[in-house]
Amino acid sequence: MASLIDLSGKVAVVTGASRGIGRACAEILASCGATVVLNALNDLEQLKILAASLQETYKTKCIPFTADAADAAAVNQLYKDIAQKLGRLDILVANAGIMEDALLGMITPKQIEMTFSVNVTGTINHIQTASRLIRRNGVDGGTIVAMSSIIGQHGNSGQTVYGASKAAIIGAVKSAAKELAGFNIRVNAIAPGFIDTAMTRNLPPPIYQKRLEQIGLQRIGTTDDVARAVLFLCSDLSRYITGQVIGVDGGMIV
Amino acid sequence: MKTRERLKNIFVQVLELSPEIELSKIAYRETRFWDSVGHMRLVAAIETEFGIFMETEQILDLSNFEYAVEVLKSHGVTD
Repeated sequence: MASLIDLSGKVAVVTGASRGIGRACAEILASCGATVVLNALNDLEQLKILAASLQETYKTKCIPFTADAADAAAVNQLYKDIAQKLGRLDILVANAGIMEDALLGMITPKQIEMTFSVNVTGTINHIQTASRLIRRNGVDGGTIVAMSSIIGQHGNSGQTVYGASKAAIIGAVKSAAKELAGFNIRVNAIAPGFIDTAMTRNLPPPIYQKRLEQIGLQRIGTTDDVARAVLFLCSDLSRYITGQVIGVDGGMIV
Repeated sequence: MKTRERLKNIFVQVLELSPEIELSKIAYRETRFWDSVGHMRLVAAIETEFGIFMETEQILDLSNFEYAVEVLKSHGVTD
């Protein structure tokens, strides 16, 4: 992949980078030579290990940084540090998110608040603050990719809250794309389908099998499948694409 | 060049003001070109010139020249 796309000299932030899709995104950006700031809510030690591993493997700088996406002050501090220590920002992958299913009638106010706090407020906090730094690149601009979901586009039983939060990300992305286009900052969303992560591996076997049968390509997606689409949106290959939602779902029908 | 002078130059350039402008008369949403778009351009120009990264509250509260001076002080920018 590194031979196809060269991101050396670029600085990227990946949120929710400690595992799953975020981790795969961090790795693929590092493999292409980008300096990667790995952000997660907590577990700095785990992030440090991951950063050291990526740095050793890909010979590019990787920096761990814990910050709660829902905490605007913490997010501001993250970008303040990047401005001071790295001097620029080119790429944001706003991936951090949570998923908690509940049928209508069993949704608690706390669940709504928590889900929207991380998935929506957190994503907007990062887009807002990162874009201030990316604007400094002038005509070179930059790119922002936010993680929506197939559920945000098509909905699913038991996922009213999660689906609403992921739909909100699409609205935020489309608006930010219009506002930031004049600064040559592209903003797009990825809508993954059924992806092989710790979360999906814990599903009851009958539900897991049912999900598989909904996928046209007849296999579960990998985090690398998603990361490849993210890389495309982070590279100049997508230089005329903004305000779009790209499904990475293997032709899944929900 | 002193901080106030550098800051004034930014205001003059970004908001297309006369260099003779009386600083106390510059105000957000009152001065021509200091609308929300001009505001973010002003913030970016100040941050770039002085190498700072403002807090969101500072961006929201920045409505006159003297407040901008205070923001710079809070980030350790003094003469």
